[in-house]
Amino acid sequence: MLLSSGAIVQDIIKEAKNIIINQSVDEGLKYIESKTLDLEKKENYLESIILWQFFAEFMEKLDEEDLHSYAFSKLITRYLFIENLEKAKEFYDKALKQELDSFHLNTAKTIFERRSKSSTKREIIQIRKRDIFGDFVTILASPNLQFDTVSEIRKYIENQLPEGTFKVEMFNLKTNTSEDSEISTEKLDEYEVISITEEVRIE
Amino acid sequence: MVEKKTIWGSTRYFIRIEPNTNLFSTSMDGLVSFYDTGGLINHRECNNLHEIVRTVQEFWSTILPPHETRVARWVEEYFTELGIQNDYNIILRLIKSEELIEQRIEDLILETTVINTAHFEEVFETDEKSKIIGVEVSTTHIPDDTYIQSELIQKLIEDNKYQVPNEVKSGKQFKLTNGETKNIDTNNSIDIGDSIGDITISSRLKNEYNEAITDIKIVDEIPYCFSIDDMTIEGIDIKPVIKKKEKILEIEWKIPEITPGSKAKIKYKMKQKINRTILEIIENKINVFNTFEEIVPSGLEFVANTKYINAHKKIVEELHIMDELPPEFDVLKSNPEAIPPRGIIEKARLKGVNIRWQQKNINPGQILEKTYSLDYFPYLFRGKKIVKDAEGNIILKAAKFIQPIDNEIGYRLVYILKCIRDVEEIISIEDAIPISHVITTKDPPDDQVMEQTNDEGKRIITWIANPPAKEQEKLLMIQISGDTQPLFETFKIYIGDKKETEIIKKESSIAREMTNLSW
Repeated sequence: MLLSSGAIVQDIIKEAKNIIINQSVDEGLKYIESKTLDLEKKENYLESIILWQFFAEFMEKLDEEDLHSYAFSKLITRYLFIENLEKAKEFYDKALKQELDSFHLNTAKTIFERRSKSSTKREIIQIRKRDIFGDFVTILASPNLQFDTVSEIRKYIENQLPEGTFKVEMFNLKTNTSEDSEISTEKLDEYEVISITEEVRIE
Repeated sequence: MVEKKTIWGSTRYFIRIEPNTNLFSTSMDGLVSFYDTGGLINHRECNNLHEIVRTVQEFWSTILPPHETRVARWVEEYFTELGIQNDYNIILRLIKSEELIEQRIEDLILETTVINTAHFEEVFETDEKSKIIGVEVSTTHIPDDTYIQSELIQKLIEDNKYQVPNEVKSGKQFKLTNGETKNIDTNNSIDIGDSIGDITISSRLKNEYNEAITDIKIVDEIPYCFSIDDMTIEGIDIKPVIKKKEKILEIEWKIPEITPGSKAKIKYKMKQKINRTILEIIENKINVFNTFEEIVPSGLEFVANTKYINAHKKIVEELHIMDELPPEFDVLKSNPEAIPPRGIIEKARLKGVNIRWQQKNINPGQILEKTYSLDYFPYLFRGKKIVKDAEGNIILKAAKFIQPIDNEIGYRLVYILKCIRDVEEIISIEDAIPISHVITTKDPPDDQVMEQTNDEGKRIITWIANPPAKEQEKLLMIQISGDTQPLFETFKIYIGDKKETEIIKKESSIAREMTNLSW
């Protein structure tokens, strides 16, 4: 007897719960990943979304923040697959509200921001440039400079500042957190550097 | 710069892989970046090939349904375009994460035991200050799966290669007049020497007592990866006793007496050798050996002649050799030529050069020789001084750079001054170059540079500079002609009639760096 897609998804959820309870959340994740992969190969994205939504909710209940945020990254990108920007935004906003943060979620959030032209404002706090001595020295940067994305900051550094290697400290106005980025716009070559540094007193 | 490549099936998303090595293996690391037409979306530093391919897969799956075979083909094509020989099946297996390779390999290894290598040292004609270190690794079996076997071999080579330390142990023992014996253990740092490739270790003992200390024994542990060019003890004519220990060469100095406040100062001048790791497979047994190969000057370059002998009475079914060059060297050519898969010159970014060989069925007594022509890896000497006043405030920063000049016999010396606060007096930077070296040009040409010879037979050059304005830099570039190496020494600095009175802190290091040298 052929099962309906709804019944298939319910069976998968039942089995996933079983694995998570009796084995581990990691095993549960592996199971969900393999099943959603199979579904997506057949372009059954809605079923995949239902599974990721189940997983996100279950991980939230278990206080598994990393996996919760991983599931959110899947939900945002899957809604983008099916061009449902409204639902993608719903999870994007939830992720911001719940202060979820992970490598995968940051990727998904940036894709969503670019797609929807929404933005997270970032303000440059400090730019330090590597000087001829190999030390990073603070350079003047307007405190009012605000950018939507890190790549726009990179463009600013590339277009507005002389060539160099920079450490940029930014403040993310939406998440109220500071972020660091190292950006090089000069040609760097590899050297075997023999280095002696002395602090001396002179009198 | 490695090009970014469009994700198949998309026109606006790209991935760039920047591997740190040209050797395809599961331990290769690198950076994976994900872009759209608006720029960078995210990137990740990956520690191994598994992380690299999984990151590509993860980026891919954020914008398209992931098909493992397509991702594997894309990665295969990417590596091929970079000129890296690779294996589609390994990439696909890693993307699918079909098996926990690491765990499987751990399960294969049963026991590692140290073996007596006296016979091998005799056959290899190992010199009296060097040693062959060997272990036998017993395994449940040698896996038939070539991928698992290759991973096992790589793991054993990595786990058993000789580790170059950052510091070495030194044990000191002496007697007080009341007959009490004191023991002090210290770690001595491995410092850079006068010139590229030179390494020094200083071992000291100061008598802090108000009485003479007697029957002094200083035992320094020198790693086998260094060849000792010279070892001296200041002011005393004694020779040390040298003993070969399992992993280090033990140098024991016996000093009759040190008077109160005096010091025993021992100095070792050394060079680093090639660390060779040899892995043999003989009838389900695996032996791993460490040998150390000298690098000797040959004209304007260097050469290393290496030799492997099958010292067993049985055929070595499989032989793997990894030659790890000292970081200051690059390989110009090898004889026989390293042609993959039998020989691979592995160049890992910011890490150095390894030359790997593999061969099957080596008969008892059969000799395999490899010769390497070497030259220095592009190097840079950076001597930096942070100059402080009596109150500890920074007055200025000064630096000296030595940079070889391509295709010319000689080098460039660059001096830089930067005043952190206002300085009014003339600043002098005094430096030394070998007596046979001469200044050919200087820039700015009108800057004043004095030359004289000192008692040690060195040419002293002194740059007399007007102080730059606060936070401004002043630079002097001198081109030197000379067919010997420059001196890797720092300089002396004077501000008016004030001179250096104390070194508050000193650090030295040798490391690969990505840097820009457009002065």
